[in-house]
Amino acid sequence: MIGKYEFDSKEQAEAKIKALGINSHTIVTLGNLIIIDGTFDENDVEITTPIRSELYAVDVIWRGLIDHPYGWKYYSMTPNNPKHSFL
Amino acid sequence: MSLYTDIKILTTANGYKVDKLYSVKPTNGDGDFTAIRNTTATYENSSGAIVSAATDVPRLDYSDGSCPTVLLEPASSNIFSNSGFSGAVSGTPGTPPTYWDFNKSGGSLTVETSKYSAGNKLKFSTSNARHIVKESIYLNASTTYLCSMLVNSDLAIALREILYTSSPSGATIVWYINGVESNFSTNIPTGDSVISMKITTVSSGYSQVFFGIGIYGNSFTANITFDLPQLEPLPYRTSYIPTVTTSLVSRALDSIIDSGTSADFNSVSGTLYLKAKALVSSGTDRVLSANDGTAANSASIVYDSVANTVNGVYTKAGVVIATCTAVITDVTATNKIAFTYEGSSFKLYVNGSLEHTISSGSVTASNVFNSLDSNQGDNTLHLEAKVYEIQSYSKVLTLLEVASL
Repeated sequence: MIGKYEFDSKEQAEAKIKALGINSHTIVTLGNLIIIDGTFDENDVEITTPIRSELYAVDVIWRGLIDHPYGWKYYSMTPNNPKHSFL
Repeated sequence: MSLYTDIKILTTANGYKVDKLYSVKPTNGDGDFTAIRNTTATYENSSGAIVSAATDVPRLDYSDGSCPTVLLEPASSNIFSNSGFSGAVSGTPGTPPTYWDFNKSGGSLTVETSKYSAGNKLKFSTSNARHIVKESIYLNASTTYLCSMLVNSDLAIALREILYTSSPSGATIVWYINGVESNFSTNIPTGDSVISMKITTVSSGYSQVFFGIGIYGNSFTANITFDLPQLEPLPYRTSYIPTVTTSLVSRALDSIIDSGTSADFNSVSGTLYLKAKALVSSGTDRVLSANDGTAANSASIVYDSVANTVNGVYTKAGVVIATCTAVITDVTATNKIAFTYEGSSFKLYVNGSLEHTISSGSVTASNVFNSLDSNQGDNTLHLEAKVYEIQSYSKVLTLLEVASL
């Protein structure tokens, strides 16, 4: 099962991950994702900086689970244009 | 008597199925490893093609020659968008792949089938001209990335003329040709090579990654093909991770565990043997261990975090009893490492030579090991290597016997 989550902060995400203990899940911390790209001039000089989400994104392949672990479901989400996927 | 008779567990890059890497011995299945990888992954098959293995299927990789290895890699991601160059159209100047742009377009582009057949590779052809594509990538702060590609060139040309980046402020870049650190003005050889840049960032920001012909400002007459581009948050190249859209794509780590039962080990007296190439020469300890299902009681072969160092480690009740150490020429080359333990004697052999003996401490009083794992017994410090062979004996091999392996 694959879950995509957006936590309120990096600290909250790290606490949730730490609470899982040693495990066989695959956890990818994406951080504060870029929601609007930066722009550049013709010489590749940055004109505007990117705008990042205030939420902290984490994607997980839950090995052996068919539902979100306790305390994770509230933060799960289904993005329209995912910024990350698994092979 | 043949040593084969004494082997309790013998595993080579041989038979497999979903979630299983078969061992040659024992033949009753007790020595088979459980293979874990939460995603698909690619590897080079015996024909030289890059192909995909399904989730939990071990990869028998032929990238180092005709003898396959069991490929055990860390998790990684490819940050490049559209690494398969879809959308590219052959022509003069041609059309760049989707999400890539021309930086210079003074030559021709030919779209060919990649070594990974589901993708394309790009051939740049110039006649005293420059022809370059680029992609804009956002890099995080305080991170090491490796940007790498397979190239085929008919011209010995400086690295910086075919692969370059404008990285965030403060970033350092180290260049490599076929894994050997090189100056960016060093010419690549004609024919096939792997070129890469290790980018270590201080601050976050955009990086423009360029590849093609004539990036540094000179014009050339050349034909150069680029294939399997990968930008990953690791200091070395791992197996190819194909990407299609702008979405970052990740591969999960490999693990092989749970080989053997208590009948296959003797924690009082034994030999652990590994013939393999480490994927990287330093960084974090990487472990193959016979253990009791924990890291507390184990006999381990360790690729140390210190460059080109290997250890034989015996741990009892959570206390390290002995650490035999050897510094060798290159852990990323094929090495045969053996660790023996009995009573208060611990010995580490590398390529048939005794490297270190420790005669203090003591092994456990009873047989407690029941599993052979590509980690330290608690699902941490996973082995990252190309594995030719793993052997476990419930006796101490002699120097002559180790030398014969």
